[in-house]
Amino acid sequence: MGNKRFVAYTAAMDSPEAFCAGCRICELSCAVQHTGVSSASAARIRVVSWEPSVDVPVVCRQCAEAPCAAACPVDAFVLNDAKVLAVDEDRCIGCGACAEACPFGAITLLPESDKAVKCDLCGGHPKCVEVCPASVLELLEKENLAVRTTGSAARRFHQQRIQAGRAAALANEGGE
Amino acid sequence: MTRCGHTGRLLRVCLTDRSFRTEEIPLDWYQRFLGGRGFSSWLLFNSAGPETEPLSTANPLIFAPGALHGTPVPAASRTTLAVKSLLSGGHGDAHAGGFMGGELRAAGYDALIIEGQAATPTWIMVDDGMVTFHDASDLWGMKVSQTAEAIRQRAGRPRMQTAVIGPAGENLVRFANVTDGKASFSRCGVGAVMGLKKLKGLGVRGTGGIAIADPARLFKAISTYNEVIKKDPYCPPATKFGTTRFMWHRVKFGIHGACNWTRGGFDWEGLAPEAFREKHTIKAASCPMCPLRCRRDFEIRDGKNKGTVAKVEWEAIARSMTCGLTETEEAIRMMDAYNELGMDVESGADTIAFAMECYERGILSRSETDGLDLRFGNIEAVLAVLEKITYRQGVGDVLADGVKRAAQKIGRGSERYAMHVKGVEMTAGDPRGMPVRAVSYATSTRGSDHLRSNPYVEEFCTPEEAERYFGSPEAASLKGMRGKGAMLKWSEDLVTIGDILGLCKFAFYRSATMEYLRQKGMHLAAEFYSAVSGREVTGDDLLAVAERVYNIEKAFNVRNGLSKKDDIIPERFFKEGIIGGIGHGNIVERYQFDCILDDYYQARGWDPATSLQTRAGLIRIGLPEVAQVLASEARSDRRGLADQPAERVKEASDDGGK
Repeated sequence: MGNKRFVAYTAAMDSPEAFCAGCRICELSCAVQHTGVSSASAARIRVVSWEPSVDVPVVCRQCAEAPCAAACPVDAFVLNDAKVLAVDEDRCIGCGACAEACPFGAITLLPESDKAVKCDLCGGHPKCVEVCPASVLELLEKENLAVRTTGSAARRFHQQRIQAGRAAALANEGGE
Repeated sequence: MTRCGHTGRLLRVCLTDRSFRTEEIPLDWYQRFLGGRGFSSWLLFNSAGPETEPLSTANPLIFAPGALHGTPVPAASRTTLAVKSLLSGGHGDAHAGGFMGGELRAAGYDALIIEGQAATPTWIMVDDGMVTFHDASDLWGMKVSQTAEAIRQRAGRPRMQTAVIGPAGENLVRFANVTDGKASFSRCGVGAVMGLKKLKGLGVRGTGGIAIADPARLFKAISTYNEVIKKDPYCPPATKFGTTRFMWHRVKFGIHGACNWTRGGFDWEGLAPEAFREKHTIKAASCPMCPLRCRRDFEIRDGKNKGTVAKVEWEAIARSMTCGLTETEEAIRMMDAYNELGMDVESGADTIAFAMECYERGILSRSETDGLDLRFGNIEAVLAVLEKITYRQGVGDVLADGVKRAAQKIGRGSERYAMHVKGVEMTAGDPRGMPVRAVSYATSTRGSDHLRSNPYVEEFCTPEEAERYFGSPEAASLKGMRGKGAMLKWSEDLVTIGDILGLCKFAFYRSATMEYLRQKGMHLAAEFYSAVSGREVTGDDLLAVAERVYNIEKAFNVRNGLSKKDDIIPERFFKEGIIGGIGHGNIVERYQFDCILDDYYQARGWDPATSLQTRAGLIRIGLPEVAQVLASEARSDRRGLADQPAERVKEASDDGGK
């Protein structure tokens, strides 16, 4: 069946205001929403930063063939009521195999218990998306991501064809 | 965990014997001072007295993250670092909007006090409840970003935060700063205090957090705040232009403070907000949790300085003008040097501008400037003298002690060109033509400062609001005189709330209308504190705490010999008109200054004749201990308390001026 929605980092980056600003309000909001404690170490979303002035939020993409679940030796990854893959805290043994397996580094091991946690989409209304001041996070249907990409690719091809056509027409005019 | 909104503990580190201990913070502190600047000012008052030499190992470094820092409250990003000021000898503190304070709270501490002195260069790591001490001999001499990177590498904790000093702090430059990631604690010489302790840097990693009493209420308040900043016309330009936008305000009033505070007419177009946006902007970046996103790292994209990237804030641009610089690239190069050497651009540039004026007036000869052609606008000379200041070479050794001491050393009439209040160099805009702003610079407890108050409310306040809040409609007029004391007192207390809670002043304490200002700065601030801590407070409760904290700092200054004669601005502002620009010829009228100052003392409940606090007043605002300390030290007219004349010894007044 697979999960069809995920929190996407869809910064437009077409103006200086449309970048992730690195404020990390998503991290602390996530932690407060899930645990009631404002602790970046308990956040399911993480902002990775480097110089000069680059910040990128990283969060679970809700893989259909989830490497985290496949790596788990005790089958702690289960679909929750909202049909989102989540960690069963009672089964998790805190081995970290899932964190190692995740290609995005989007699994968090809680500091005290070592138990794994991951983004559960907050039951369909992710807090990080709600609080992001730069609106660079979005709850996206995977179907729409494809549509978007297809759309922009189609537009690009279209423009290229038009330009190529114009160039050919010009060349023809010049030849006559 | 039952306690909400705080950790309940402070960490005390002694460098001398490499020891540390955790102390419980008395619960009543959370009610009386809340946190942040409330804690740091109270701790400083209790740990440094008149006998504490500022430039000595007895001067403590006190870090106190704001009471809401480390939570997702928007723009809750500020940490206070307090010391006994190396410039004024009185209360000193500096504030930064970085991640280190939040990390410290995640490590379990609402304050960190560093005492003593290490035998050799040291860096320390606070890792949750553990403190380790490490050799930093090979880091000594490194610039700021290099130091932070080295500490990060050695600790092997990618998500740790750092606070480090550069070479300026090591060499005890009196305006050296401490850098927290991209932010810096800049004023009052905090970096030199750290340098004297031989503490090159501090690494902090915390994996805990702050329990939130009512998450749903907190998230609701965040939404409300985000709605307000969409509507408040002050806010959107902040996101688009960062702090560079303040240029328009300077131009509107002709208060550039250019060329060592002489000129209002200045060739500013090269430093226009649009120029920074078009030529140098990477993106709108932010301090922790901030939706305004006015932080900017500007990059030079071509020419021989291509590749230079520096965090540049408005004060760097303003102080570029103070040194006569006119181009964006010059401002970026200058700020890169300040950032990397670890110095406060406000004090540093004012000191250099002073030297430039002395040079142009022939007070300093070229041989005395080590051959540097210190004309206004000469960027190469500015960069060269910055190096000399950092390493205390030649003329730099004189200037490294700040403008007041440099003028004393140079003499020859240079004192009249030394622009400072209480020994602390000027900041922000020219006060001429704006008397209440002039008084606000004079009354600031840490010396000249635009972040200690917000009397700019007179620029947008309506007469009705002025009457309601400050007792006179005149307070709403730039030229009016009545109600200004009450306005200044209120605005000082208002922005103090920001430093106590850790809320950025641009995000909460600047606005385009009184209504938005009160909504953000008082009501929403109170709502956030209530939601986080579970303790109901109102905006007025917060103002009361802020008044208490302001009075602690005032008392600290009184204890340390600062008196009414120090609540004064440089003579130049009274006597010389601004040259050029829309404010051409403006001065600060002395009678207006004196009148507003007296009005302010009355609004504060301090004695207008001496500026001293009263025992009754201190007890009324909940500071009986402070009253007791001051009473025990009342030795002269300028010390102690105003309402204990029996203990005062009359002496020849040297109050000057009045």
